Amino acid sequence: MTITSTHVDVRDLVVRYRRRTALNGLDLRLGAGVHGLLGPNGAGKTTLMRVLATVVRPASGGVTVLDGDVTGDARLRQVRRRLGYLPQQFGYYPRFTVREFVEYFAWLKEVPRDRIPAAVDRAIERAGLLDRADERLKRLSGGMLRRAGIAQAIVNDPDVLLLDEPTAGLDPEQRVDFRELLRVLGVDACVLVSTHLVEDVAAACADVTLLHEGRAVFRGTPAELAARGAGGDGDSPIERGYTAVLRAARSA
Amino acid sequence: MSWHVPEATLRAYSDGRAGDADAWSVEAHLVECERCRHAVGGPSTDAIVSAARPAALPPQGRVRRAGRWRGAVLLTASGPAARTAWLVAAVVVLALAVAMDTTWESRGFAWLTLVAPLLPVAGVATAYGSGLDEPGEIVASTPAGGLRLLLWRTLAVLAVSVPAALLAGVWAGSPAVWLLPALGLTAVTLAVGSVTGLGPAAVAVGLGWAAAVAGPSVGEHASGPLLAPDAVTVWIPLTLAAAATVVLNQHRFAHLRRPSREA
Amino acid sequence: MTAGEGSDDELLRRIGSGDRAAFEAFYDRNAAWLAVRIRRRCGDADLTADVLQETFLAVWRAAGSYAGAGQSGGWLWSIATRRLIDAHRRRAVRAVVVGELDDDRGHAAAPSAEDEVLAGTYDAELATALDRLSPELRAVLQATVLDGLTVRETALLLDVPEGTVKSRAVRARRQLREALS
Repeated sequence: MTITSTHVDVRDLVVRYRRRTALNGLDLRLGAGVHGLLGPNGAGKTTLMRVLATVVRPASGGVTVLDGDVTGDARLRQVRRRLGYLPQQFGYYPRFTVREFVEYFAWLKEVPRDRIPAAVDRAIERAGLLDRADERLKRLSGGMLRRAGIAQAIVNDPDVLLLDEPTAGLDPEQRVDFRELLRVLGVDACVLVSTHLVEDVAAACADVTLLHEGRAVFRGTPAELAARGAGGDGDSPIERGYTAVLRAARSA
Repeated sequence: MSWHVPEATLRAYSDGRAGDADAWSVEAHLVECERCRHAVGGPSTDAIVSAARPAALPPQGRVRRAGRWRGAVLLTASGPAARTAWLVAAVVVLALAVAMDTTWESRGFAWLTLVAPLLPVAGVATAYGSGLDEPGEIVASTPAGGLRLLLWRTLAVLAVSVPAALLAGVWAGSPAVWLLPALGLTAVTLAVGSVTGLGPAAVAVGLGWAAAVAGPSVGEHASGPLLAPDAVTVWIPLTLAAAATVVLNQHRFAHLRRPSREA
Repeated sequence: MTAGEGSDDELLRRIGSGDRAAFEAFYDRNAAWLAVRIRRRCGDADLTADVLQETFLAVWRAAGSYAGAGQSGGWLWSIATRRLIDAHRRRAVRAVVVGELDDDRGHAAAPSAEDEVLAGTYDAELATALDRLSPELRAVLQATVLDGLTVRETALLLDVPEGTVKSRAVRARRQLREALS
């Protein structure tokens, strides 16, 4: 038996919300690098993020994150120390400053106490928010709030980083900076980015997974997705590839 | 420190001529020894040192030490007990209870007794996984986001609501017979909440307490059997049993209860 | 170890309250040894200067959180290592088109008592034992034990897969133990 451990290993994953099936037999293996997650609304992107973030438990199937089975309780705590998660929408305590917000999550993630101040400083610097570090969250714009969210996600140097629509609210310049950060983070961590902005994927991701109705209907490089573009609609080759793959999945 | 790196070794290390084993020795020592640390350097490092000197220093920002209690302060400051809205609501409820008691004193029904133990219960219900815990989604993915966070917040709620109710009682001149029930009901809410979720648990505990207090109070007695002095024999075992249940069920606080949003 | 007036601890306290002169003094005293130590690990003068500057800027911002007594050397180095690894990450992005890494993943094991001894003390016997290790094994031991890096960070610094770091660390320790016993 060969054991090749990966960061994320999902097998036959099923998640149901009441009567709706959000994920329906999904298989996915991810190693280090930046991975894009594409798909129309309701395809199951956010649900997959939440399962990998150990926020919800699946109805059935196997989910292994960092060699720990997260459908059970035994390894949950160890795995969670090495996770970073930025949900699509996240609330915040409005009176916290950016620094306090990031510090709060450093404590919750059980970062060693003597490392916390430097780790918080570095996370805020990497997210490009140093000049606003002591501003209260309620005074920040949407784009800055998103960057505060990114800072808390990376404060523990996670091995698995889950970012759900991280570029929402960022202006074009900030998005370019963010893609650069993504590439750096992806050098030695597994970064999963869900987005509806196809150009983000093309610019920063090594590979793309396209979800449709709770299943993966495509897995490959952005170039391979673009190559499927014949017969699809869109402004760029990769958009045409995206629509063509979806169209094929719907008619199948 | 009595031992220091010999001058020649330090020079060799500074110039990058030291072998790995020597360098190891020097580096292990340098971290501990200020004197030797300051003696490192020379022509081979001057260029780097002057090139790297920060030209301008930005504003520093408010960095805090990560003291032993800093974590607890942040964990409680994010909870409801530190919120103006929650504090105002608690004070208003207490004031109303005192007002009712002083207005209808003769009826023998103590509103403060009914309300005071339920304040921490309400605080606990809103402490975690509720609408008031805004970053709950992220918190749920962290190792300390479960029971530990909840207990800190519960402690904060108790630390605020119990003294407030005591003050109200002193001012209204009513005895604090509700102290033990306040602890007991809070513990029971946590215990039941580990199975049903904190919201439903708080509602059930609240209704139960209202029935227990109001029921016997319809007659002549100001307080029911659960408030009599010998009710200690009920409350202490109940509180301990509830605490044990919480500990045994702690893994149940590790996930979000509701699969709330979807996409 | 010096304490009180003029010590590094005292300088850090003053930097923490915004004293620029104290920062200059701290830089003059500590930049050189840090530069040598960083340069030994990346072998590139430009990269060393970048890491050095980032480290001291972080020191300027975070000095207010330093609460140690006589631990400023370790504190400074722990900030520098994170910046050093970040610099390697940036270099990796520039150098390679991102490729799928499918290697063994792991994280820092808690330092063993043996590691504490290795990191803290030093004697002739140990020097001979270290000298007998191959350079590859020594580099892994240096990164994980002396520099306090995680397996993941070591892999990045030495540009080898994490699985290799782990197996080399095991081998290095075994050889060292045999040589010392």
